[in-house]
Amino acid sequence: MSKLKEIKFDKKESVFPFVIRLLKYSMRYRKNLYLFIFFVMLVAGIEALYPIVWMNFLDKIIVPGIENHNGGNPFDNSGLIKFFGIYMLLALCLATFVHFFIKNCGKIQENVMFDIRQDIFKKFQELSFSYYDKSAVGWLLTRITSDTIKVTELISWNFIEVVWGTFMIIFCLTAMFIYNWKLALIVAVTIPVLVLVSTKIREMILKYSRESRMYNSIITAAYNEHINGVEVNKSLVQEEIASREFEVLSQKMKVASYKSSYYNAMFLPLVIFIGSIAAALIIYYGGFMVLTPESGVTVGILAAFFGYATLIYEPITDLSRFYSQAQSCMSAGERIFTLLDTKPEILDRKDAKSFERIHGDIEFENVTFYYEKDKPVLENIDLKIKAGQSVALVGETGGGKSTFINLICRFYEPKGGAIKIDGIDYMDMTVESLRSQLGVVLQTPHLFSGTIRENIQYGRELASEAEIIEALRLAGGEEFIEQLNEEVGEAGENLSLGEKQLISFARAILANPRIFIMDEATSSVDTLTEAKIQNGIHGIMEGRTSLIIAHRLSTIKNCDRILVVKKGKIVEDGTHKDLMKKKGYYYQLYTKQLRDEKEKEFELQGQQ
Amino acid sequence: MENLKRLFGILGKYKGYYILSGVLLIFSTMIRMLEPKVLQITVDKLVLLLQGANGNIKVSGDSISKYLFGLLPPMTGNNVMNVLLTIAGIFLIFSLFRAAFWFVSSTITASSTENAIKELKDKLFTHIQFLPMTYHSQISTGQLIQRCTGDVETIRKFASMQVVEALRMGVLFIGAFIMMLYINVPFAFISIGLCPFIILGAFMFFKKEMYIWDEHEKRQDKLAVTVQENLSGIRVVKAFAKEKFEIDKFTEQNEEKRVWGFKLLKLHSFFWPYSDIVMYTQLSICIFMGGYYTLNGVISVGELTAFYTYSMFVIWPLRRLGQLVSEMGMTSVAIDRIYSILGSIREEDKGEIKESEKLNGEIVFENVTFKYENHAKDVDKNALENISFSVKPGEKIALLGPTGAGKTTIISLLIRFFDIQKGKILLDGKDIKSYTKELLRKRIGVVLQKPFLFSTSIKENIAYGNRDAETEDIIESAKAASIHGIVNDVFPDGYKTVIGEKGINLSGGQKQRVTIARTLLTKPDILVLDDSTSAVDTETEYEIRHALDKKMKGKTTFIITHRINAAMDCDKIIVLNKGHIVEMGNHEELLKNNGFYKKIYDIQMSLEEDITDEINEVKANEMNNENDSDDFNDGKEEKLQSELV
Repeated sequence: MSKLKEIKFDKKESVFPFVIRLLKYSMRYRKNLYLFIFFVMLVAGIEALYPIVWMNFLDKIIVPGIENHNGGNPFDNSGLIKFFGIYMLLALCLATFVHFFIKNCGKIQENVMFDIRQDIFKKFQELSFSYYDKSAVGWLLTRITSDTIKVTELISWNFIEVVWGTFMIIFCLTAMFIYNWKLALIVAVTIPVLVLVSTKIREMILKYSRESRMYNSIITAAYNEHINGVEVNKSLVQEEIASREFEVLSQKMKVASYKSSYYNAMFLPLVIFIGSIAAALIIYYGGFMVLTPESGVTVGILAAFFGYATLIYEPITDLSRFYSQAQSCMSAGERIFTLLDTKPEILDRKDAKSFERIHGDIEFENVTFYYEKDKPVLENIDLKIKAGQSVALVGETGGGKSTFINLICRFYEPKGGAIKIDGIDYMDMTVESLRSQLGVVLQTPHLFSGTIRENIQYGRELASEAEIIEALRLAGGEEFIEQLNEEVGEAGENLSLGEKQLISFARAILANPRIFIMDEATSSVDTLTEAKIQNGIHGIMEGRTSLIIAHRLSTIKNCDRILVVKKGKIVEDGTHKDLMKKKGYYYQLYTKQLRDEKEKEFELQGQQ
Repeated sequence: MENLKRLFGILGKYKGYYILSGVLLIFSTMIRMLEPKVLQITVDKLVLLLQGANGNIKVSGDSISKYLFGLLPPMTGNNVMNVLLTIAGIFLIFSLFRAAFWFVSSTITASSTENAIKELKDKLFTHIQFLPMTYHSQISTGQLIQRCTGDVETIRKFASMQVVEALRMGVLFIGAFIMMLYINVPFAFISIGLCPFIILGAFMFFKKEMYIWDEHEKRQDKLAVTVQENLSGIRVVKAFAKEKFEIDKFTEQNEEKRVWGFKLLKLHSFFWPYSDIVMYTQLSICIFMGGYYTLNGVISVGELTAFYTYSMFVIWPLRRLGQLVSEMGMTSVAIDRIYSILGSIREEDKGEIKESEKLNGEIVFENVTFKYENHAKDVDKNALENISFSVKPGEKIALLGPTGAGKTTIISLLIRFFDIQKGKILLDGKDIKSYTKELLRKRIGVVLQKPFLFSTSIKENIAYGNRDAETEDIIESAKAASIHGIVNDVFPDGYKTVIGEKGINLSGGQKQRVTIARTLLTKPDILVLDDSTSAVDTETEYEIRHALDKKMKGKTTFIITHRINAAMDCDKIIVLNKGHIVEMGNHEELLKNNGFYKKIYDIQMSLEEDITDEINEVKANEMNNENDSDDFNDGKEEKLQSELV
């Protein structure tokens, strides 16, 4: 389970391929993407216009106006009104463009998020059991929740910064070079310096914030352990020592966290100061140029350049912010893409045919299987189960019982040999046509939120009311007939484990399968219910092949055939009576169980 | 407001630093205020020079610029370069100081916040450790952890970013406004004329946003729940070949989330342009009025340029006000939740007897009645009722009875996880409340029912209650708990093997044995085994019991069990059911008593009989089918052979 977690994804050089792959998702919404870029460009354009308008206002209205005024002429309001109009027009345009770019950007965000989630979920449904054995649910869940959110934010809202920043730099530089290339050069020179400095500092911030996140997860684990184990700490009087030990951890996190804040604190002041150097140079040279009329630099141009010099850091910090955000999102993105690129181990062959109605013969031909390469679970197994037979699998945990079932259901495929259903190698057939004819009751009875009826109907969507009731009856769950419309809660939390098992049992019955499979499914029902199920099982087994793994041997006593599986081999094979006679492993197990069951009875009596 | 005070309480120890940081920030922002002045002066100087001395040209009238202006030599054709160089120099010095103050202020805030938050974390951790079991039995661990991590993080973010940011915004707003007042009073008020619209808009927006955000998050959570359910039930999905059905179900939820996402988007796509338009209208008015004043000679051209910048300074903080308010709301909730933990009263430890050579192990329960307070389950039921018994030093006592009978509760009372409501418990003749809890728990070694281990090495786990233990002692305890052999031979790194999340997983029986070793290492005067060998196989259980008998010789020992064979050889067996003592005595006495104990005993006996019956039946079959069965067996064996090949 931990293996998948440990793969590290932070390879610096792969930021761009990663961003490009993400952009392919946005390209599905080409229209929105182009409009988004277009409107952001317009916004940047207007923002770049403001200093120019301001410059014109000073040079065309104010300075001549004062000259006029000094000449004794009454001043003229029309210029003021004209510029008021221009400013209002700019404001209106800006607001409109902002509205449209937000709209298009958000559309991209929501749609790409929808698509990525859709892709991930479909992939989840495709992947085989072997993948799920290695990955924890919580860990996988993060792909579709926070990882997806991070990544889509990167190519929507964070991407604005790239577009805006790029256009802003282009527009500002263009404007400046048009008005005065000498002054423009001063500002332009600061750009590479700013880029270098801001990228470096961002990298430091990233490094320490990663470190602090790592300590944070250690701290969370410490809280978890010592809150769950508070009873131990109290009984051994370790509260004080545990607290001291915790302080060492929190100190480490504090240091890392502080370092990241330190570089963060340095970032803006330093970057703005670099911008100020340019502004100071503008004042010096620009001021001089204003006084030399042939330079063409006016007071307005000076003010505008001063504005550009003090503002040019903004698009650059935005670009560097995107760079660092892309870096920190990269692991999320890589996790998503690695998942999407995983090839499911079990896939239908191209020429796969569908099973017709399955008769029920199952045959293992020299089957070998392992989950991990050097640890064989089943070796060279030959086994024939006739259609209609009821077969029980007995043996120690980890001996390979469940593997038999996993292979028959094609949750895994044999690594060697073949499994034949009705004489046909199932690898030549589709998975769907096999599984739709199986009725499986798994060890952990998983239910889905919804009503009891919906959960039973999961076995066969189009089943009638009468069929549902019949299935419940067979499963020994008559009491649920009145409660079919009750909600079972998230993962069936409103029900006890035993009740969940009953319903998952009814669900499998409703599927009316050709092969019926039960994997330790009655371990948590009480004795009374179990007796009911046992009655039902009899009816279910009739006319179909069935395989049962049961913890309680009393459940399987009446099966046609009992297989004792030990260390990947079938060591005993026969009816209950045969095996009791043999006085082998089965005999031992049976007598031990009888003892335990009686003890449980005593336990129940005590509680009444 | 209450919570704001609490926030200051959390940050309180570093008050001085925060004030220092604030002062530096104010300096930095004040310098920022002066930067537009530099341009203003430059422009005025230049205009003055260009226009020559003809007429009354308006130059900056406010005291700051007059002062700065006065510092500079009058600009003439000759010293232009020098004056400009001085101005540029002043500007650079301003910028340098501003950057330095800003940086230092931010680092001070960061270090104070990180320190305060570390202390808050430590305080929470310690406080939780010392909260009484009555508290722990009522609250879910998931919730507690969420508060210690998520809520603390919310506060950290607020303290490190918003507190300073709010201050900066405030200073910027007030500073810029004052600067404007300096230049021209009516103009200053015109420049903030539209502020109410921005504030109003921000508040309305955030109110609406809170609602939509909430709904949006609910859809998001629902989506996550659907996926989680699907993933934990993926085996069922596959077993029933329902992948398509599940994808449809998911698509529906995903679609619904998108719909709410679009609603949120719509809100944003109107609010931001609205606030932009108000802001830029304000700017347009400013420019119009500024132009008017300049042309009328009320303010200078330089002042106009400064005004332009200041009016931006004033408007900008207002836009962020709404966000500040909404984050304050979130932080306030987090603070509330953390204070509900910190506000709970710690376990008191008032006993007079703090030191004692050794406990003799004489225990008397006199009419003890106990009820779990506010406990979710069994609210009205007494967990123990009228319990009386006495134990002589060195006796071995069995507490027998079904689940929920009150066995564990008796032990919890003995080490004062809970205090009794009625009756009396005497230890060595003295009331148990006169001992400190620390002493009781150190001297009474309880092996808890749930074998909880930490994710550290085996060695550290065994030495958890006695950190300075010698290696030999650790091994000796491990041997007594029958775990030494496994640790040495099976575990990859012997005693250094790390267990738990980052290491290997132990079986239930192995865990139980480690916990037994852990308790033994504390060398207790009284030992309690709370169903501590339930997952251990019979032979090992026997070994452990044998080793314990030797080790605990002469010391009082309690064994909690629901198995008769574990209780049989005890000096006294106390049979409990539903909080009452049903029977008490040794094995022979209880058998004679013909009560509950006898019944349990009989069930076990009948069990033996059942098995004998079954075997006899098989034997009878064997007799009947003697001839057939031989053939049958041969056939079977052949078949088995063929299967195994």
